[in-house]
Amino acid sequence: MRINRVGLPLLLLLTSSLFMTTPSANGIERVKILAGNCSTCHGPQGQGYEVIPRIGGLDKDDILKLLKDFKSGEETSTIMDRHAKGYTQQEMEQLADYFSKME
Amino acid sequence: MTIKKLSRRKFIEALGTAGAISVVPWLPANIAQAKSAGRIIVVGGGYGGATCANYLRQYDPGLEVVMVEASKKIVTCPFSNTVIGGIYKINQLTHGYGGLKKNGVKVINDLVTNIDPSEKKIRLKSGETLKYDRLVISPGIDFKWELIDGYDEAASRIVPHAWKAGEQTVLLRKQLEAMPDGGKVLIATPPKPFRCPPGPYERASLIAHYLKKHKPKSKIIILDANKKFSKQGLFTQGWKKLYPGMIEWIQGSDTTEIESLDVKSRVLKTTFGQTFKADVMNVIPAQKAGVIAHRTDLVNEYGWCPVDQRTFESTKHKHIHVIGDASVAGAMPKSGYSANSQAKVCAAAIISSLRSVPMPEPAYSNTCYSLISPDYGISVAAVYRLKDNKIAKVSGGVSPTKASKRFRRDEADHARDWYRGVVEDSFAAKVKI
Repeated sequence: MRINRVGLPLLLLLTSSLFMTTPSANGIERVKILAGNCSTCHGPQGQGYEVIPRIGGLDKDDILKLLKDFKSGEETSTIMDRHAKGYTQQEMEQLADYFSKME
Repeated sequence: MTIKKLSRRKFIEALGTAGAISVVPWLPANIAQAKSAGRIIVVGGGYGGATCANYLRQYDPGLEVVMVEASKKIVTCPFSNTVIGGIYKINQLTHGYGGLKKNGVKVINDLVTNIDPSEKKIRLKSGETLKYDRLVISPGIDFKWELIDGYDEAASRIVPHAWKAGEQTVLLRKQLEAMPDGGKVLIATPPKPFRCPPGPYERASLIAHYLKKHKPKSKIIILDANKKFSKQGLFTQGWKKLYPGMIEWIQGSDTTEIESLDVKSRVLKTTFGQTFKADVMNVIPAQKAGVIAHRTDLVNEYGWCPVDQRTFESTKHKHIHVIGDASVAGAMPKSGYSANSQAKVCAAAIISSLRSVPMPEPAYSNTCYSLISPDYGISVAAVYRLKDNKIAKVSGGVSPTKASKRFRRDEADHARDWYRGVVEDSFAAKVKI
């Protein structure tokens, strides 16, 4: 299919503007910023690697319990205790919810 | 949105869909306004720049993001000590920008020669100029060459600093391979603050790992510019266990300051007249923000870039954000991981600003692993928040001093996964180690 020089940008504009309108109306959700601190090690989709476990798509309650137990020291870890102590109960709930919804 | 002196081919290639909007000025106003407001140019394709470009697109797929980086590939400083120690090859730490391009980042391989904050435009080495609405610069570090007599960029091709990964890393590795058993290696550390605080000590560890196996009569001297160092207790403990008698640490003081270096004879002289000679020398000079930050008047009296620590917008020029090693970021260390964390906060701040909505309260983090051997890892980790407009540590610390062999091995395994993660998250690239 041949698309002329004016047609191509116009077509791209119309399709891309559909995606642009919605996110532009709102700000970035705070949980996304918090979750950025998790994805650096656990992967952009929370998919995990060889020993750093998957967190994306797990059950929300399971993630939350682990985070709480890391924070309290109930669950042993190498490093997660040091991270978990940096978040409030509410933030942990938001993070657990966020990662549970990942594919 | 105007573009001057940009060829049509490069224009389309560089700007893709969002850029193409500006060539149809006759569109109805309501459609034109539906686009995300503006073009973000990111200068520098290291951890900070790449992550910021990647996350700007992720947070708002409609945003036009252009990343300008001189190199076609990134060779990561994190894990480069494993190349020096003979564990991995440099190509395993070399990653392309294909993943970022796939995510919609327009990558221009060129060098930024000039930034004009009042006109909001940058000039490239090729002569082309680009306008921006927001500029992110993540220039990394440059060296204060003037502080050591006899040591400059040319001299570093004989005595490497290996503090920017790539040829320098390979050069240091080759010199270690060529060194006879019983040789002496000297690592001179820079005064604080510098990129990767535990880096010199991990380097000493992994060189020791190599020497223990292949040249066991050799010695390593660390001539420190500082009184104490990152993860000191853990490193010292590891050295005693794994490399007894091999590493000597000379504590920094007025008498250890380096005055001059003769790279041909590999003799280093301190300000108090003491001399050190070694078979392999690794001199890491004092540091400052990357040169483009200086040229753009973004630096303070110490050579680093002061920023609003919530948004990373420069306090010296509006609409320019500085992230990574070059920025003054409160309690955060100068690390690739810090740069990654700052980049995401910065991306959110820019989008909030473009949409005229409040920036959510950020939290930042850092995690740095160091390998004392391939089976012995230690770490430092922290979460940070804003306190009185400064980034302050709220939790974290280093690995426990009392830990089993298994714990250290687990942390070494985590270190390798950490590398896989931080590379994929920053550069959208898969690691093969």
